[in-house]
Amino acid sequence: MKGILLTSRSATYAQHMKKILEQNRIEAKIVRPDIELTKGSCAYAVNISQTFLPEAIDALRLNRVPPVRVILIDNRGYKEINI
Amino acid sequence: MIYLDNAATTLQKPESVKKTMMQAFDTCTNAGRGGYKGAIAASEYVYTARARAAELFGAKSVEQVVFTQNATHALNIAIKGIAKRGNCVISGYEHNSVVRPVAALKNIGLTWSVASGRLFDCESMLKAFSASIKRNTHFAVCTHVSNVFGYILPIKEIDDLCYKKGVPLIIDASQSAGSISIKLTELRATICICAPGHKGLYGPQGTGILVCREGEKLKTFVEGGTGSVSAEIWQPEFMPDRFESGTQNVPGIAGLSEGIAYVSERGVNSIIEYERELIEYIASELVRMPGVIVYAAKDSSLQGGVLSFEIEGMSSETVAEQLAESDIAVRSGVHCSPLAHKTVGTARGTVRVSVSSFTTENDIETFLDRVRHIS
Repeated sequence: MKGILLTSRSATYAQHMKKILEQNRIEAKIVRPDIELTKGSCAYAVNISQTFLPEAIDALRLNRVPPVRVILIDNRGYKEINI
Repeated sequence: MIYLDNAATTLQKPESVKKTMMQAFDTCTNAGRGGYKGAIAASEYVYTARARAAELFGAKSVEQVVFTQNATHALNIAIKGIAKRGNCVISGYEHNSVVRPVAALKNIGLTWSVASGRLFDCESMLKAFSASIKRNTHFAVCTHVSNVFGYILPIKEIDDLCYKKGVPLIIDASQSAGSISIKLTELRATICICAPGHKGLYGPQGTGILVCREGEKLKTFVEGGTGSVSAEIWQPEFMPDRFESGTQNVPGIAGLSEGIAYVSERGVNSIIEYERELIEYIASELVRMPGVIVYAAKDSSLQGGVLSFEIEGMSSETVAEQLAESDIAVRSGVHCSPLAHKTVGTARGTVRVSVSSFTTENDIETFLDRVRHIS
C-alpha cells in the first residue's frame, strides 16, 4: 500500500470520510492500518492518493470529520504529516 | 390473517426489507471488526442505515445515530445515561419502557413526577407538564404518541417548555417514528429521540434507534468491544461507539435501512394521512354500535394510527379472543402502559386497533363486521 493514510476513530468515521471524499471525486479505500500507527488499537483508515491530500483535508474539515492522523506511506516506510 | 396490532410490531414489510436482510445474511460478517470484504460490506450496510436514519430524524451527523435492540433499549440508554439524584418528569401516557427504568433509578435517589393531562387535551397536558417541573427536575421523558390511545402529545410545545425551564427532554417516538415527522434539528431541549426499528419504520424485530444530541455526555451502562481504540480499557467517549458495544445485528440493520428508505420515499405525511383516514373511519363506525365505547379524538389531527375501544359488559380479552377466532389480530389488556390507563380511567384495559401503511380498507370492513356481530 502506498499514498496517504487518513486514520479515523472508528469504522463509522472511516465510512463517513470515504463518503465525503467520494462526493468530492477523490477515490478512497477503507483499510486497516498497522497497529503501530494507531497507538496499539484496532482501527480503520482511508487510503487516498497523495495528489489529493489538500482537497481531501479541506473536504473532511468542512464536514467536521477530520482524520486522527495523516500518514504518508512510501518505499521508505511511514511518515506522519502535520496538517 | 387481518393484522391490526401494528402498534406492537408491523407484520407486513416492504419486500426490499426481506431481500436486503437475506443479502446481508449471506454476505456480511462483523461490522467494524475487519478489513476484508465481508466486514467492509457489513460496515457499509450499517453506515447507509445510519445516514438514512440521520436524515429522517434530523441528526446533524451520522455519528449521532446509535443502533439498539429496540426502543426500550434506547430509552434505557438515554434515561440511565442522564439520571442522577433529583427529580424527573414523565407524562401520564408513558409505557413501562419509560416507567420501569425511571423506577429502577430510585436506588440512586431519583424521584419522578407524573404530568397527567386529559386525553386529547394538549392545553391540559402542557399545564400539567409545566406544573410538574420543579427546581430539582433535571430531565423529562415524554412519549410522542400514546401506544394505547394514539393521542399525539404536543411534543414541540413540551420541548419549548423544557427548553425555557432548562430541562433536557427524552422523547419516546415508538408510535410516531415513520408516520409523524420528528427531527432533532427542530427541537431545542430534546437530547434523545428513541425509536423502535420494527414498527413504523418497517424494519425487523430486534432493531431500534437512539438519536442523540450530545451522547458523549451520557453515562454508559454497557461497555465492551467496539472495534475502536481497542488498546484502551475505557469505553470510547465518541459516538456512536460509546453505545454500540458488541457485535451488531447487521442483517437487522440492513433490513431497517430499507424500511427507512420505504418510509422516506412514501413520505411520513402521506403515511399518517392514510392511517388517520382508516382510524377516523373505524371510530365513526364503532360509535354507531350499541354498547361500544370509543376513545377517539374530536380533532383527528390529535390521533395517530392507534385507537382504543371497549364493549360494555365484555372484557377486552374476551373481545380480542372472539376476533382472533376470525383470524383478526388486535391487542387487549393494558398494553404495557398501566400509567396511561390510570390517567384516562380505563384500568380494566381496552381493545386496541392499530394500523399501518399496509392495512387495507377490506381489512377494516371485515374487522368492523365482526365487531358488530360481537357487540
